Amino acid sequence: MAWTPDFGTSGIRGCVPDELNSEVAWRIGLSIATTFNQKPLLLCHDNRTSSPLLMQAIASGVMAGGSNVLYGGEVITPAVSFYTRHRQLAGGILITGSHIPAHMSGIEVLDKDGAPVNRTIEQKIERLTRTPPNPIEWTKYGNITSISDVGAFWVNRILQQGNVNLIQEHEFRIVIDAANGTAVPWLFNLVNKLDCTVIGLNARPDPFFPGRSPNLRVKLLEKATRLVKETGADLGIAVDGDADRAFFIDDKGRSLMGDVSGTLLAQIELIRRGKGTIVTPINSSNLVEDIVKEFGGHIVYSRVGPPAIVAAVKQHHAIFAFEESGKAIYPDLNYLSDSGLATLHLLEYLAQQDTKLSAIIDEFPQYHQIKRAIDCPNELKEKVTQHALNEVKKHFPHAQVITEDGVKIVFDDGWLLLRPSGTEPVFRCFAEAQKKKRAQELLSLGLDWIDDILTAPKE
Amino acid sequence: MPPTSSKPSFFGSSGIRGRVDELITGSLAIQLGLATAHYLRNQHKKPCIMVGHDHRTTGPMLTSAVIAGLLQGGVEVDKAGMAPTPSIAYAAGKEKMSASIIVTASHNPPEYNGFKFHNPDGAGFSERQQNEIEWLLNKAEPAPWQEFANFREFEPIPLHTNALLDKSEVTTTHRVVLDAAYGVGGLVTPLVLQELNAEVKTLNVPPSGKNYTQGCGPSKVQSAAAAEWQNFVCLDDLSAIVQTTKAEIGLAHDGDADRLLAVDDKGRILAGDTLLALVADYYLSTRGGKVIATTVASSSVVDHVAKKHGARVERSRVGDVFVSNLVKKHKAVLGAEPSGPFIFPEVHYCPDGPLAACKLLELLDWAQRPLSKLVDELPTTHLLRASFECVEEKKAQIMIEITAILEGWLNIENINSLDGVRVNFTDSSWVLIRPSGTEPVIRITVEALSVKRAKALLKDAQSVLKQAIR
Repeated sequence: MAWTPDFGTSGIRGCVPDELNSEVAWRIGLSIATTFNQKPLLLCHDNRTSSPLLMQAIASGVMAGGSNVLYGGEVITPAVSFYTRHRQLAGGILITGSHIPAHMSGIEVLDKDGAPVNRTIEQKIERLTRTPPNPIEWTKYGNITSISDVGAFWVNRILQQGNVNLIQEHEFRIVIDAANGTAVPWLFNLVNKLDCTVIGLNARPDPFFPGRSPNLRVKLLEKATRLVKETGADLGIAVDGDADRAFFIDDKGRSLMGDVSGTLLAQIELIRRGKGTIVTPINSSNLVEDIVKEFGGHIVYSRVGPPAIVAAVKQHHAIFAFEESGKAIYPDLNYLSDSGLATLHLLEYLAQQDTKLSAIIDEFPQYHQIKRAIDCPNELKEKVTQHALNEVKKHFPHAQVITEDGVKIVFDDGWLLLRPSGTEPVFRCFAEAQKKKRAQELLSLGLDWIDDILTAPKE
Repeated sequence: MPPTSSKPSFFGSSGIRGRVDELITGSLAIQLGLATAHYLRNQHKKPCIMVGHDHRTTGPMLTSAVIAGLLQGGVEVDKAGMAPTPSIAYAAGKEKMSASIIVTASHNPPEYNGFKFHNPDGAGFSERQQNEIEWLLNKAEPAPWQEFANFREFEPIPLHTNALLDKSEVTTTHRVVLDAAYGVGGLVTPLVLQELNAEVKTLNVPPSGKNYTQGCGPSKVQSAAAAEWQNFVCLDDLSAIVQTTKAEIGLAHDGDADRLLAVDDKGRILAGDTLLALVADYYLSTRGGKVIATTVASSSVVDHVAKKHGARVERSRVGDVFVSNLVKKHKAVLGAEPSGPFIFPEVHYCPDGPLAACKLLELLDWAQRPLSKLVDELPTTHLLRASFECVEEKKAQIMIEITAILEGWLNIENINSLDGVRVNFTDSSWVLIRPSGTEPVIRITVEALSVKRAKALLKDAQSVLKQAIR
């Protein structure tokens, strides 16, 4: 299938230069400026080899479309959305491959709230990129101005959100695994200002990501967990390439699953705010159900992927949202995941409770989650979903069924989710229960249903 | 391999130029960046380049696009921002760059833009270099992703300003009016002249891509100004202000400040040839030297000046690149064209308007006389011009025919057919018949000591050309 400059769940992504290149980026820039009616736009990027060239090409296209460019340089992703929103800009453009391989990159477009633009705007940009509009009249071309305070603005504003003195008094020791990405220097600056001792891992920006993959997976964090244990650190933070997502490692050197740390951050928000709505995608652990109820919150499940999460956050005026991938969204301040805010609030909570992260985690109910991805042609996906629904009706007429995104069946002692992937010819199957055996039972039930359709004789 | 013999068709005598969104587009700029990157990677192990632009509204867009192409082609970039052509060319040399690109259409209307290429010594890219880039256009492949390059921002003006002050010495205070034509010369020349103790009044400063045409326009053409420049510059205001403020000199830049024209203390707009002769006289008097380099289109007044000092004049094809090469080849003390580019090899080989302004103050210091007196002391000649429409494809054949006829004329001293055909006669008069490089016309220039002789010569040349075109 030929590559087209279309938006996926995290912007327009592709290989450079075969898919994304100067020519395509120029057209995308022109289309964005046209869509934003010539209003000034912030433009920032990560530290990939392709970022400078894509930035210059997009900037050029944006200027040809009549918008001025505020060029913020190489910065951490949450700082870009933060600056766009709190400096009251019309929008922002972010060039980042986030966690994908080093030879690829992506373009995200943010609205005035610093949130990803909605689907209508995305479609307009896609349409214009395919058949580019004429550049604006020569007298109205845009200009480019460099600004240097995007990262510092983020650090300073985040420091205003918590009890800095209290955190400083605790003199935390923290390991940061920066994945050779843009967490350097901004996340380090933030933590330094909290008087923490920072032990850096993969802390030199390097577009080839020699330390580890820029992705965030528990199995990629062995070095970081070892370093936490060896140095007796209170906490480990591991981020993806552009440092919007964060995984946390407790003082015993255990990497927390994204929904475990997300649930803890939700608990902290509920304690801080008294009550409120928490948004999380349908594949999150039941743990969140237990904790949010315990702390008097209300939970809303959304579809998977940032646009759906942000839409649910806005619709339900949520105070916090998280994704098992390490995303932590504090909608009052930032509609993109913000590793800095998550770090600040976690440290503040540990300081207030005067406790270790491991002690809190040990008290959490234990859940076992198992995931499988099954190859499934796109044209069979609808059939699988329908079959699963029929089977549920037949065998479990009293179970709670959520059809927000795939089919989720909630039992008293666990749940099962069958979900077609939006980007690949794959069907995903998730099962979770407090007992490992039960989780396996549920998983095989789901796998059987998928198999029924895949092995059925062709009509 | 690129063809080396034929003339590049896309590049003109000073780079690529055209109307933005017609010939000059973001896509062309990206492809040009890629082609340049490929060319430089063939020449250098670790190539790097400086890129900047003049005051045109489309400058930042085209600059970013050409940089995107260069980075995608794997060449490191120093991004210079808005600055005069000579400032960028000079800083590129000082910073050991492999080349520089300036996004400018010089004196063309504001809706035009283009690209000028310079070598690190300041000289414009040769025809051979331009040929190679043109050949690579739309062929050059991107670098592999591991080799994409990065850029940094660089401010070229301080380096250039320091060099100007370093190489100039003025002891008296001179009263100067400067017309920067809303161009980038306004960023450099007023400050430098003030540093050289001048009292400077400025006109059409600061740079503005939109105000460009104010006060100018084809309806107020100054016959004294150089032919290709005069359609877009009007020195009437400058002339008036020089007179009312009793200034000693008026100076005028083109948009990207690689050129300079002047007005004397009486408000007279000096012909480019006059200015060239005065600067040549000053240089030969104070620096010695044996050679002045200029083009086939310049007046014989400079020959008169050179002869006085026992020096000679070398003539190249029209275009500053050819003059630069001639300056290098003959170790000339000065290279210049009547259209206003002045090349001072003691600093670099790029035509440098701000530097020429400094040198004119030095000249006033040295002469100890009003500029108008110096002008009046030069021999008077009469220069006449005419042009005839002629389609591009017929130009070559017509020039062959004309050359054959002219060779039969009487009292010829010599014939130069480097660029069109220039016939020098024994009475110091001459005629040049030359096809324009940018327009569908053939131009005639004649010069003689008397009006009568000049008119007769023009009439003869016109009839020859008319016949050939028919």
